[in-house]
Amino acid sequence: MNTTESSIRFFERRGQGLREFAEATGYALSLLLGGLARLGQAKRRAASVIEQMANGSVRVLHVVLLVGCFSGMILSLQTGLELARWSQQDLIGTIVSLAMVREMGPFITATILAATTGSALAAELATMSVSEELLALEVLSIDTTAFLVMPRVLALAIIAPLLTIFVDAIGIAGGSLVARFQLDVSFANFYDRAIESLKETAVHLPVPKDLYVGLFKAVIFGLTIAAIACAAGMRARGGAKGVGDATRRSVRNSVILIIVFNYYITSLFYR
Amino acid sequence: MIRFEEVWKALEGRPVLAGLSFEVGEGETFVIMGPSGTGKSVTLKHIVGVHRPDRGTVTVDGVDVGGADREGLRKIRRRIGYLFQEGALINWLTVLENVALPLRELTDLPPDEIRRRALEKLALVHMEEARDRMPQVLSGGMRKRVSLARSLVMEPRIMLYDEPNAGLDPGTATEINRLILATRDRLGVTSVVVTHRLACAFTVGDRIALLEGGKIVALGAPPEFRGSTDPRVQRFLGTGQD
Repeated sequence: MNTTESSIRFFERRGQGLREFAEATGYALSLLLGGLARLGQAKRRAASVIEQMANGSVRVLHVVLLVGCFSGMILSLQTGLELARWSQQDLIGTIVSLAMVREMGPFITATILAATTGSALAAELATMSVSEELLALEVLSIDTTAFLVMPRVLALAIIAPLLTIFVDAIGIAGGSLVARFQLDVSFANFYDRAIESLKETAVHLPVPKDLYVGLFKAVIFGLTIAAIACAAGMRARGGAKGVGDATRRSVRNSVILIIVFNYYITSLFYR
Repeated sequence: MIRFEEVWKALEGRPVLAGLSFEVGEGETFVIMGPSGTGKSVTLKHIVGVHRPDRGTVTVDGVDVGGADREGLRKIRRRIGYLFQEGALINWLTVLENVALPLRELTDLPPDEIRRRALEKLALVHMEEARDRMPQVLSGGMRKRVSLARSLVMEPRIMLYDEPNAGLDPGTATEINRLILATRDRLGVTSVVVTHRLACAFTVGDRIALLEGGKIVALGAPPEFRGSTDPRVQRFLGTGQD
């Protein structure tokens, strides 16, 4: 194979990957809009929504808390050591709280949800797809968007911000422990700075801007993860390999979109 | 009632149906046989509009399935029950919930009436004792019986069976064949059965068609079909499973 041919094939493969990503994202968007349009059925499908919320939160709570706590500790240690060189370690409370609430809380929660709840959701729907269960629902004239997609979309849109609050809180708590025992910053100093810096952003609303923007991000990430996972699962074909591919696609596409949306939401609110 | 006229269909560039034509009358049980990959299941999927013909027409009760919009398709599907090869039961719902699902999703019936109707259909397939069990603990034959109950719960006028005996031992396969006959006799449904099991075809079929190369190459009542001198029929009867 000469260089030209191998270059063409390289670009063909990249092009195919991009087309696949665009198709999957377009389908996910149509499912998301369909799911949101059926929110009126939420009361009727409350049991299903609650079951999805329990599956998506209780089973991953220990993971998000552990990761959140250590993230706060790492953040506190890394910034604290640098600040200590300039005798500015009193600022640790400000930095840790703002970083956790603005960025790290929503992002860590979303990444873990994509890798756990999102992948499980994609695998479940992919298994239904390859075993003709989705086809059976279609033939029975059952609205799969209302029956399968809406409860999952709503559940993730609710649990993502709730888990984010836990991660924010435990991340700040972890950061305060490192500040107290390794950098000699008192709890009082750490939390005074943390609360003060958050309060400063409560200008337009009684809630700090950093908090509601972080939670808004979490809602968008939850919707994204649910829609991408549903789309990957429902498009799955070809037995066990199809289920594996759907799961991998779901996590990959979710993480990419979470990062992209994170940038644009930050840009929208802070520029 | 069901009519295929010169239906052509290719999937992923490979021709599957090549001018398929046949007609199924009201109350008839029409069996489609043929080697694997000849388009038997694809034929069934045309009847419910999952596939649409590239050329030709498929009509159900005079309505063109290929040209039907979403609402038209929904109306056609409400008249049809479909038994899938593996049963296709929803694995997080119990047997009773699976059977009740179409009634719960598509009607405004009160819960008691939904339960009564679902139990009635489970009794029809002798599965009322398993109502609280989950699909994954059922045997292949039991799953098919539950799936049949689910297909019947909306009281369809047409039943489509996709390989109803696939993966079953001879005893269970005979039981499923009896259920297909009982469904026809009690409910008067029109049936299309896709199978490669000779015993199934000759037990339940009023007419049997052999599908090869995407079209019907032989068609007749069971005795006629068995006695055919067509070498393709004889070859298939020689290699088909009992």
